[in-house]
Amino acid sequence: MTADASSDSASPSRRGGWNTEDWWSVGIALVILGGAFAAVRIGQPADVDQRLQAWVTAERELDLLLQDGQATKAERKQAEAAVGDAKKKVAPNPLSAWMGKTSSWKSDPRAAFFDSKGRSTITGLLAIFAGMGVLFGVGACFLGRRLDHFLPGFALLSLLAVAAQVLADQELIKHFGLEYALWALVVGLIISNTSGAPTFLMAAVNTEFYIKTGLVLLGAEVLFHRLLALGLPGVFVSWVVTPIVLISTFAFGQRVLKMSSPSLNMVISADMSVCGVSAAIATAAACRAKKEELSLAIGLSLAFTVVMMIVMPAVIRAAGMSSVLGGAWIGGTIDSTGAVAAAGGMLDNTALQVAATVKMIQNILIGAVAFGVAVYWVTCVERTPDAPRPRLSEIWQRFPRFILGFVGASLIFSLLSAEGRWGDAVAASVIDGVSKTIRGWCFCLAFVSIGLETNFRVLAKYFAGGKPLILYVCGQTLNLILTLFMAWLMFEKVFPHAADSLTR
Amino acid sequence: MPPTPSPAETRAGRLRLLAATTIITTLWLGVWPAIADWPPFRAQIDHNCELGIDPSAKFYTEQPVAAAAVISISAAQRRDAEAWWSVSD
Repeated sequence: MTADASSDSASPSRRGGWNTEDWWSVGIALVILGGAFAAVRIGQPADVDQRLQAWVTAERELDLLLQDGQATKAERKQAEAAVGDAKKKVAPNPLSAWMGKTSSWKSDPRAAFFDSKGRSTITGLLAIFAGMGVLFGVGACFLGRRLDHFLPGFALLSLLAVAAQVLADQELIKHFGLEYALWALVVGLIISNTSGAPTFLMAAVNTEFYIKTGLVLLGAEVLFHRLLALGLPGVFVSWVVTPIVLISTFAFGQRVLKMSSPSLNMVISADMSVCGVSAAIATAAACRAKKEELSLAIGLSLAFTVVMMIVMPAVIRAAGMSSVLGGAWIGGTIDSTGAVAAAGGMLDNTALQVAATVKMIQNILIGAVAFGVAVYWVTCVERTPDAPRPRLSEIWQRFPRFILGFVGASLIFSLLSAEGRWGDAVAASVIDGVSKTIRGWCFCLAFVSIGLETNFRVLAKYFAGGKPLILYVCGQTLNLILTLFMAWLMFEKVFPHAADSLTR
Repeated sequence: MPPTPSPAETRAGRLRLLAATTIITTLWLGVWPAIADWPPFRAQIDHNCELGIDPSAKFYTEQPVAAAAVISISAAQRRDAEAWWSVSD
């Protein structure tokens, strides 16, 4: 994100050499991913071959049950759960017990610190933040910050991140899909706009460092072979419509609305067309958007997500659409991954499965989008209109290095996951057991940091004239029309047997 | 460097922080739990829990139901691969 938002952190990214914030983000993420992979390898059970065989058997039993055609919903669910359990047993992760996270709660927030089995998660939280404090502390130290200033600030920043996550875990808030990113922003904004943040806390505030590290970790979750999870219809609904909507919305913002900030335009276009908050984070980092622009795009996206999550299932039911068509429409249009599943679940199980899978395929798109946006920004947007096209060496000079880490992690884990059953189980174990929890905390720390550095009045300035709202509404309208058309064409006209095989 | 706030500004800032904290505490400990128990919301929350849906998931890897969907759809594709990859006549 841009220098005027954080002069302290943007400058190191643009320095040459290896001692930059970008490379440190890549390095920290690689240590985490490499450590998690090593832990899975060291903890590999002696009877791994039998466990692999048990997975194959569980899958065969599911196939037999479905071939029979007489299976009840409960039997089918049980057989599917058996496949998932068998896969998990192939590559257990010994580090997962130390990956502290909070849980959902209703009226007593203390319940957030116990997992579903009633075990306290406080030790895990302490362990994860201690580990992150060491890694980020070493990085910050090499980047010119003082470790003795950084660590106390990081401890308080971590406490604020946990508080934001606990706010997000309240069951009603969770039910409406109001993610921790929003509450982390709120926590930071409240402090910075009331009493002001203490100086020692600001020593650990470094939005870009946390976001870039989180993004490289997120790269490991972008598994390209998942693209084919819904066959050709899924590819068309997710990978054809989404880029068309993204590019059209951005062009509309630039040429018709004449938005003053191309980066705000891009972040809103991406979070609306791809997958909400995670796409907003990735594109904001790729095009060096201002922190306030990212906050605004996320606020806009979450507000529309809540409305669409409630309205779309009602419209689909009223229109008498099939579950598969309705699910694909929901999956392709509602921004947030969580809200997509909630809206699909309001219809039926088939709609839920299609909606969740279409959104999963869209999630994978953020790798290509982040890379494409970074290249476009370096070659077109940051170039003065009359300047010649930059040479390859110039592009390399200005290209955000952490994007290479993001794409690299994605390629490595995609190859590992596609390598076979063992590789798939190991990749899942590294992601589910370690990296996704740390990635979540990195983003939470980043959003608390954004809130701590943001003034309410500055935020209001970006909304002037209502152009962001007009952009979002117009883009989302196009998205709704194109996605519905493509889903209808694919699932009802071109591949009707695919839809039949899901409802059978 | 921002100017150092006067003692009166500091006190006012702390009071605003206290007020914001009180509002959040009241909403999260009193209002939201009461609204969550309103029957239509309660039914929907319980329905999501039963299906393993996390409405606050940011990425598919955080969504428990996504893994189950992949298993189920993969099984449907193994059963009838043609339907997913060949254009219908």
